[in-house]
Amino acid sequence: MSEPLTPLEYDLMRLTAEENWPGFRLDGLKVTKRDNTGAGRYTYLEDAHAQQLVDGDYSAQYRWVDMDGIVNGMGWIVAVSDRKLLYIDIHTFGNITWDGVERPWRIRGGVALPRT
Amino acid sequence: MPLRAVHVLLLLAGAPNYDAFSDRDGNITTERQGRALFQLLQDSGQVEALFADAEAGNPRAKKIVRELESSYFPDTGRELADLVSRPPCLLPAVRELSGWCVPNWAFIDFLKADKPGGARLRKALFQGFEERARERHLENQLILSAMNAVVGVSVAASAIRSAEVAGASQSSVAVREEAGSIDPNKLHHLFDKPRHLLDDLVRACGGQEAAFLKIQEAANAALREGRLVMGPDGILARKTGVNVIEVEGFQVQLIGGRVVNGKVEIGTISREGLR
Repeated sequence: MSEPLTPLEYDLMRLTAEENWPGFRLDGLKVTKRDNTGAGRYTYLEDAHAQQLVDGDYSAQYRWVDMDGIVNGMGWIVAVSDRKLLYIDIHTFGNITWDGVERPWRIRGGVALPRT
Repeated sequence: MPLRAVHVLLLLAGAPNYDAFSDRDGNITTERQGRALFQLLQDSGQVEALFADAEAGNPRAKKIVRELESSYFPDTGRELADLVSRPPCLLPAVRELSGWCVPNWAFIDFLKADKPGGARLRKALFQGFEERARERHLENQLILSAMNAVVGVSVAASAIRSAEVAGASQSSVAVREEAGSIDPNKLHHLFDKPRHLLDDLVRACGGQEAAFLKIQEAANAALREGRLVMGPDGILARKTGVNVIEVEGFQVQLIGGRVVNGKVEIGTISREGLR
């Protein structure tokens, strides 16, 4: 299997790359496998440019996915292992299920409202 | 009734002007929208109309109410608790004389405690305040005074009991009762990923469900003790070495999670790179 990223997956990768990997190219990313767990999704990736990264778990700090029907929203981390992208781990917060359907969503984080 | 007549009635009733404070999906993304919403909050009738619309299923209203209840008001409560727990305020004499160490709750007079919408926003504000106050180990008396001032005496009376429970060390039994049945999907997501290196912990705890309960208990304890790093929406920080908790002698990192209503809602966990 080699599929393009969904719009959600692409946006999560874009935000993660912008914050952690300056100059990272997204145009070579493909999905090799998706595992919808019922409480999130593991999206396994391959990178045509074989860009080298430092092992670890990455995300965009304090940002989260506000998706219709998902109480409390969802978070994500991007796992890097053996200096290569491994997967995106999208997860609900707490005892909340997600059927893997990407309903309307928005990336949130920080607060735009003025404080009292 | 003709549509035009309905619009006239809505105008007379002061229906909220959603375009002023949100985009078409109910998101508040600009400072201008934030200011307009702040103006709306000063008008009790508009607040109640907003909540009524949300109850009636208006998606924009529902989204805005959710933002107010889950983010804006709890965050304001937390910030207030931070303000009154700064070091000088922990000295009783200073606290009483300072003029600012004891919150003056009059600033929320615009939220009518006897109206459904106003009462819900007051409750959201107090929950944020209480959560942070307990993390900062503020005296129960200060918290109860706040509760009386913000949500009213009748609510405070019943809440004292739960406050006592929350103030005490939360036992596994309490966690288990709260957890109810743990979603097997969550267990699968957390524990069936070899890279998370959780097999030894699961064995030590006697199974995935028991391990989850222990992790939940340790995470909530770390939250109460102020050992978790989180952002403004309660999103746990995601950095190497941050938000590592000890569970049955094993280190576990909360690499994804969110604090909601004083409890850690676990997103994902791992022991990779830990002892």
